[in-house]
Amino acid sequence: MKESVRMVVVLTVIAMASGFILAQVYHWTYPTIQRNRAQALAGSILAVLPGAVEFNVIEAHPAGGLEDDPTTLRSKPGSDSDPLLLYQGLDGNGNPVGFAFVSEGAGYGGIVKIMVGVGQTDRLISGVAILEHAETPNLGSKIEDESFRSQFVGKGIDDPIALGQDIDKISGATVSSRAVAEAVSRDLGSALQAYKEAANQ
Amino acid sequence: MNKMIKDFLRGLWDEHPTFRIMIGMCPTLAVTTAAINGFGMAVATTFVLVCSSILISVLKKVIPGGVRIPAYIIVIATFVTTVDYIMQAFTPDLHESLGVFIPLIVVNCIILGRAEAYASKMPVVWSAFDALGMGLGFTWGLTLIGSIRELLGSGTVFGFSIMPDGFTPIAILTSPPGAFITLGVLLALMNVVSSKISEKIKAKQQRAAN
Amino acid sequence: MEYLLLFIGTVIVNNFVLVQFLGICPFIGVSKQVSTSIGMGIATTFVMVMAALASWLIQHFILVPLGLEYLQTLSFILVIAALVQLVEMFLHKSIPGLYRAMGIFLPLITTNCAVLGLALNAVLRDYNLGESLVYGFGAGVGFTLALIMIAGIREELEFADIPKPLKGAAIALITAGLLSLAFSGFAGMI
Repeated sequence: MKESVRMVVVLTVIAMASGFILAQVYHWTYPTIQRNRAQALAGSILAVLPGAVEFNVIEAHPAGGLEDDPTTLRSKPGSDSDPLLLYQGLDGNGNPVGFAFVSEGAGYGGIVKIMVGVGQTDRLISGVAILEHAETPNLGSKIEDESFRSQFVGKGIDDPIALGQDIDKISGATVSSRAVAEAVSRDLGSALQAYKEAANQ
Repeated sequence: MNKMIKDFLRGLWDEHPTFRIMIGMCPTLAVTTAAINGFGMAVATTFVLVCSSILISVLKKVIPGGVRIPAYIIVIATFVTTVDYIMQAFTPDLHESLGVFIPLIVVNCIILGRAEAYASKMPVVWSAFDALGMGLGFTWGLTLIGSIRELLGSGTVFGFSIMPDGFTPIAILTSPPGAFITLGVLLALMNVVSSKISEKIKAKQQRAAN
Repeated sequence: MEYLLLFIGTVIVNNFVLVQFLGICPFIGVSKQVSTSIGMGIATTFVMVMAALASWLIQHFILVPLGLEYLQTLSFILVIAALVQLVEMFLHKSIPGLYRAMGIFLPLITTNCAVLGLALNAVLRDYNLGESLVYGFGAGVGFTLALIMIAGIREELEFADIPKPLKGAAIALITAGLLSLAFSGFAGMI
């Protein structure tokens, strides 16, 4: 009996000490982690919207629900229930220069997450950035190269944006290339539509 | 003192976690696509290994035998989560490329194995040295595998270009099949080297005996 | 349909062992005979489905409502350890025959990183309860499949004339590499 009481007491004390320490670590690192994520997100938004110096977040389907922090990159845009987050880029005078949205496609090693920027007046793609990927280094990871990403610039809703048509694949990395092309083309129409509606409100 | 150094060195070759005992294989294969990833993973694991070995050695008289495994798991998981958050905050790029394998340090058999086999019985300083030896062994193992895969698969080591311009990277080495094959070939090479060494030692002993 | 895709994707395209490197220790350690591989596979699959259920419940009813996400790794591994213990006790009492067949594998499952990896991945990918269960089952089937395949090959290798340095784990790893190469042909299908 005495032994089993001791077991419970020791385990409880260790568990509580552990919980306390982890709470401290969490609260100590949390601001830095959030700042890293926000910086990474802001960096990629400004990278795909030339001329932008800051941005607004527009929730395009607010009726959908989902309370997701726009800085965590955890939202799944394009599905039915989640709102599509649009990042409206503003230039130095506060005038909109376009918008950016997150999209994803199934790559070789997992989900490929990208940021797509669209110009304000011409409604054409102004830039594509890769946010997350787990593609094979030196092969699929070449989707991060400027020479691949720049192919999307200037394309619009009337272009096919498909491998073999107006996008050249990276040799040896068809699946990774296709993931990006599909991610760009799939959500472009709905994002444009959503942005138009949001601008009219 | 001599015995302590022996215990420390054991992890570096004779009982090398990767090449001899073959434990902690998941991160060994998964994160060694580049030298820096293997090195980062191994350093994180070594940190957890040394810290939890010390703490478990300190607490060895307090923890009753019946709940020792759950108690060890809590101690290890606490250090792992701490490392996880610290890396997320200060080395976000490395954290992203290691991904789920950082929390999975919890189930790395090296750590629980050393806790159960060594730290729960030996004094604190001894446990620390034993853990450090194992950790350093794991570190050179993972860094070596990462360097080989990065050198042949991408032509770089720690991101520095090494190979001449004409070199075509063997991309398969950075993909999952390459991990298995690289480690298999390395193990075979290690077997050759260590059998050569033991032959030499045997020959020497024989000569001494004669 | 979605569940079927998730299942096939988990079993084959993203096979836990051969593509994601989860559960390598038992894959190399307990894969010398087909019969033991089957036992290990079934026991692991069972724990995986239970772990998927338990970790989903913990995540959505305890950790998230109380804002304790930082206890995720800790609570998941404790629950898996407890689950394995429970399964062991249950089998020991009610199905002793199965216990004798599977008993020796059960303690190994706690430190199988495929189980914890499955729980963490399911949360990371925001799976709902149904998806988590399918993911857990698929992971177990994929693990069993890989284990049986390598065990079958290793049984044959016993009789092959292999150079001495390659004997044992080295040739097993190279074989696993070739299997993984075959599985990489499925990549990008889903």
